[in-house]
Amino acid sequence: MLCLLACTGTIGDPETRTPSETQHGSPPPEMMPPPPMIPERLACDAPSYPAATEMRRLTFVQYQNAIGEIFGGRVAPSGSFPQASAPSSSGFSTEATLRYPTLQSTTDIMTAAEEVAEDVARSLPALLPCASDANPGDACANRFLSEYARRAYRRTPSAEESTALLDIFHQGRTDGASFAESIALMSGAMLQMPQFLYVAEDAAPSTRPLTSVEMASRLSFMFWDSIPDDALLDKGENGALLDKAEVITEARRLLGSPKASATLARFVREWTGSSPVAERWSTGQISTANKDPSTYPFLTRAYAQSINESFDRFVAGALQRDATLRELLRSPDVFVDENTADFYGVTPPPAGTWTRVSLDPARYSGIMTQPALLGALAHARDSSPIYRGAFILQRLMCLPLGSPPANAQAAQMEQEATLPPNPTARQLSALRQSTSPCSGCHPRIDPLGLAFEHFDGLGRYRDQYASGAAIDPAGASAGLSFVDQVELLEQLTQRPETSACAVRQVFRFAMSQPETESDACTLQSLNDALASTSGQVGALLVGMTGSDAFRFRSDTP
Amino acid sequence: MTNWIDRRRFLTGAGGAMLALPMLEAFAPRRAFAQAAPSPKRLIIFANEHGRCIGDGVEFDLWSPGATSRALSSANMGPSPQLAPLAAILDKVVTFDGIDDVIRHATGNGDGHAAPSADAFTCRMPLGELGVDCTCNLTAGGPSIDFVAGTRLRANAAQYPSILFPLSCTEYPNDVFYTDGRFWTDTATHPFQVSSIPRNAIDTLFANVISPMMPPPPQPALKDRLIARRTSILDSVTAALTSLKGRVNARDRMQLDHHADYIRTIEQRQMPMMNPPPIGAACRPPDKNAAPEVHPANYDEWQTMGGNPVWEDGSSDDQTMPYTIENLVQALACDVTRVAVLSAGVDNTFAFQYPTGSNPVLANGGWHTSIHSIPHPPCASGGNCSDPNTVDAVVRGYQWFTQVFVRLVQSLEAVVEPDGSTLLDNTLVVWMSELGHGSVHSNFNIPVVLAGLGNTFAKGRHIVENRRTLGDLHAHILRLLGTGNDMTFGETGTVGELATRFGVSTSRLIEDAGYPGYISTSTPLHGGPLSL
Repeated sequence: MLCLLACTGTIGDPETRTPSETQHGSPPPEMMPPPPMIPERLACDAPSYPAATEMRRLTFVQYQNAIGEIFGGRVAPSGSFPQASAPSSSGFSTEATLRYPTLQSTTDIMTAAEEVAEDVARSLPALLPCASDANPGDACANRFLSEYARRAYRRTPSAEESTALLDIFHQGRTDGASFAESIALMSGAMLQMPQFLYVAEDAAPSTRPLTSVEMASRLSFMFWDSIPDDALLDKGENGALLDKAEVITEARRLLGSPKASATLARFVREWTGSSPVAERWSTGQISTANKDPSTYPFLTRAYAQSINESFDRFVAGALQRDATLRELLRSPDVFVDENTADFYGVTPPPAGTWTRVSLDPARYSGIMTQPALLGALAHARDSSPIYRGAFILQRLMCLPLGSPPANAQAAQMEQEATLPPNPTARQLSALRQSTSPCSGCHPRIDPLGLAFEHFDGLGRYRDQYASGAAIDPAGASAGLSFVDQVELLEQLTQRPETSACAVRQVFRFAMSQPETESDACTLQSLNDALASTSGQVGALLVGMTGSDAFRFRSDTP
Repeated sequence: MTNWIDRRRFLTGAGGAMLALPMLEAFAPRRAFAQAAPSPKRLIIFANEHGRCIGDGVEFDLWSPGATSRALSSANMGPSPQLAPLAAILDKVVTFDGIDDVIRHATGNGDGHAAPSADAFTCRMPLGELGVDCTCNLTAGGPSIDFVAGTRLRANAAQYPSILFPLSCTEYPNDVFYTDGRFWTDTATHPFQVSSIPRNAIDTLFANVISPMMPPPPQPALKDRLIARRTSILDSVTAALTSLKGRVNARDRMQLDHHADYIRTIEQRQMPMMNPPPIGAACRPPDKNAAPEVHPANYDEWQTMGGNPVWEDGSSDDQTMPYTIENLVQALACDVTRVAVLSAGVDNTFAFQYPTGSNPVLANGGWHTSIHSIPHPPCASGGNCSDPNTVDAVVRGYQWFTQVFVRLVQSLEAVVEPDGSTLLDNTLVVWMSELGHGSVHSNFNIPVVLAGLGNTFAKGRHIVENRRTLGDLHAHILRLLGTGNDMTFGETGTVGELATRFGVSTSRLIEDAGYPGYISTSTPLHGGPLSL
C-alpha cells in the first residue's frame, strides 16, 4: 500500500494523462491517499440525479453526420466547421467544455454554413422539387423549412423561428437573388442558429423528466453522434419518449443500427485513451508515421488502416452483440482481412472482405493483445512496458497515477549506464524498480507491462527477443499475480475495479460529462446492472438510457 | 460589398478591362508615393516550437554563430549549420544567445511544452493547474506581445490586433502558440487564426480589401450574396441566441453570451471601412486560384492515430509555405492587420519534406516527420546528440525553418510601400521559440533572431547577452516599434516572488537542468535592455 501511496497523483484527472517520454523537471506530486475506488456500499434510498448536462455544441463528427442526415446525403458537409481543440479531462470528445465559443469557432461556423449553403443551391432541384416550378414562392420555401429545418432543429420550428428564416429568404429575393440563392441564404442562417448548433435543454429549477423531444436528441447523439432520424423525431414530437419502455426500445434500435458502429468504436477508443487530439502514443490507432519503417517494412498505410479497422470492428461488433466486458478482455477472436490475416499468420479471407477467426487462446486475449492497442502502447521500434502497465492501471482499472518526477530522466540515464549493452526490458525495469526516484511508481507499473513483452512494438507475437534472450511475462502488481498476459487479463476481469471503471466510462460517454461525487449512487446502480447482466456492455449502454440519471434533469445544486 | 476575387474573375472574363484603364491611372499609386503618409510600423513574430532542438549554446550546439558577441560573416557562420541559409541575409539580421524564459521556472509545471508556450508570448504566469506535473489546461495569464503591440499599432478598433498564420498546412487544431499562449485576458479579441491552407485563408483575409483598380462584377455570385448578407443573417442568429438564453441555465447562458459577443465582433468587421487606407503598389491580394489545392490528412483519421499526419496527395508544408508567407506579407501590405504571428507551433506534427537522402533517424522514411520527435530522447541518453544521423536530421530539419525566415525577410523587402520605403523597412521581424535546448526542454538560450525596421538598430551582428529574458525582449520590441517606453513586459520581480504570488511552492521551482547557477529564487524576471 505504501508504494501505491507514493505514486498517486491527486489533482486533475489522472486517467487522461499518458506516460510521456517528454516530461521533465517537475517535482513529485504531494503524497496523499488515493480516493477509494470501490467505495463502501451506499444506502442510496433517495433518487440520484447527475449535475444538469451542459449545453454542448455539435462536435465536428456530429456536424458531419447531421448535415448528411438533414439533406439525405445530397449535400456535402463543410471541412471548415470547427474541429476539436484540446483533450477533455474525461477523455471523451463530446464534452461541452471542449467547444466553448471563440471568435475563431464562430467565424468557422459562419464559413461552414456559407459553404454548405452554396451546395444547397446546387442540389436544390433534388432537395426541393417545387423549386423547379415556374414561379416558386413562399409555399415552396415553407416546404423546405418543414422538411429540413425540422431535422436541423430536431423539432418542428416555432412560428417565430420560421418567420426569422423566411425573412432572410425574402431579403435575398429583394436583393435580386434567385429562388435557389435565396433558399441558400436561408440555409446559411439556419446552420448558424443555436437550435442547430447546440444540444440544449431548458433549465429545470426543480427536477423534471426530459421532454420527449429532448430525449430524442439525447438518444441519437449518444448512439449515432448525429441528429434523430425521422422515426425518432416523430416519436420525440408525439410524446412517446416520456415512456421509459419506449426510451429503452429506441435505445436498443439505435444501438443495433449500422449507424452506431462508428460511435461505439469512438466510445471504446476514447475510453482506452484516444482523445480527439491524441497524445502521440496514447491512442488506439496505428499509422505509418508513428512506426519505424525499417523495423516494420510491411506496414503500409493500408496495412495500418486494416489494423485499426480490425479493432473497431471487434469492439463495435462486440457492443452491438451484447458481448460482456469479459469478452472484450478475454476473447481470442479477431477480425481479419488480407493484411491482418498476414499479421496473425492465418488464412486470409477473399480480398476486400473480413472474417472472424479464433487465435491461440494461450497467447491472445481481447483488446489488450490486439495490435491497434499494443502497437499504440509502444515506441516507434520497441515495446513499452511502461505505457502498457500504466494503461492497465489508468484506463482499465481507473487507478490514479502521477507522472515522472523532475529528475527521473537523468536518474534513469545514470542507472542505465551501469547495465551491460543491449539490456532487456526486464533488466531496465529492474533498475527502475530498485532505484529512487523511479522506485516510487515503477514497481506498480512495470510488472503489468512486462507481462506483454511477448508482443513487440507493433503487437506481433514473439517467442523470444531477436537477440535470443528469453521473455518472462510473469509478475505481480495491483492485486494481480500472473504467469503471463493471459492470466493477467483473466484476473483483471475478476477485479471489482475493472467493472467499476467500465461503468464510469459508460456514464461519461452517455452524459457527455465526467461523473462527480454526487453520482456515486448512479454509478452503484449501474454497477449492479452490469453485474446482473454478467457484464454486458451494450446492455449497460441501453440500461443507462432507462436510468433516472439519463431521463431526468435537475438544475438544483 | 463584394470580394476582390470576383472582381478579378470579372476582369479575367472581361478581357480588356485592365488594358482599357488610362495609362496614368494604372501608375497612379506609384505617382502618389511622394505625398503618401509615412507607412505604419508592423511586427511579425515567427515562432518555431522546440527551440534549437538540440544544443544549448554550450554543448552540442548547432545553432549559435559564436560563444561571444561578434560581427556576422559567412566565415563565422561555420559553426552554425542550422542557420546556414541565413548567409543570404547576414547583413540584415541580429542573432542572440543569452535570452532566457525565466517565468517558466516559477510554474512548477512538469510538462516541457505547455508551460513555456503559455508564457513565451505573455511573460505572465499561465493560468491553470500550476504546480501540478501534468499537461492540463494551461492558458495564458495575460495579453501576449503580439496582442499588445497590435492594439497599439492598429489603425482603428475594427482592425485585427494580430493574426496567426499556421505554417503547417496539416490543419492541426492545437497550435501550442495559439491555444496556450495568446490574448487570453480579452475575450472580445480572442486569437484569430486563419486557415492553415493558404488557399482557404485568402477570402477571410482579403474579402474586405477594396481596390479602386477593380470595378465590381456585373452580377454577384452566391458567395458574394452570402457575404453581403452576413450582417442580417448574424442579426437573426443573435435574436435566436437571446431567445434561447431565456430558457437555459446560467452556465449555458454564459456560452450563449460569448457566442453573441463573437458575432458582434464579426459584424463589426463586416462594416465597410469609413476611411479605407490608400491602396498602393504595395497591396496585391494573392490570387486564390494560384494557390495550390492541398489535401492535408483526413482529420478524422489522424485525430485518432496519434502520430504525424499522413498526406493524402504528397502535399507538404514546402508547397504551402510560400503561399502562407505571401498571404502574411500581403495582409500587412494591405493593412488588414499590422501584427502577424507565423507559427510553427504544432506539437508533434510539424511536417515538412526533407531533402532527399535516407537517414534512419527520420522514422517516416525521410519525407514527413516531426521536428519534435527527432531529438527525443534527450541527447544525454545514449549520446544521441553526437550521433551523425541525429545531427543530420536536426540540421536539415531546422534549416527549413531558417529558409522560411529568409524567405519572409526577402518577401518583405520586395514590397514597396506607397511612401517609397520597403515593407521590411517598416516591419520588425522576430524569430523566437518557447524553448532553448528542445531535447531537454530547457528554457535557457532561447534562439532569437531579429530583422527589419530599417536603420533603427544595427544589423549583421551576433550578440551574446549577459542573461536577458523574454520580458526584456518583448519590452524592447515595443520600444523599437515606437509604441511606448516600456522597460518591462509581463510579470516583474523575481522568480521566487512570482512563485509565491501564485501559490507555487518555491521548493517546486523547475530545476536548472544542466545549467547550474543560472536560476534561483532571486533570479530577476528582467535584466535590462538588449545590447542592440
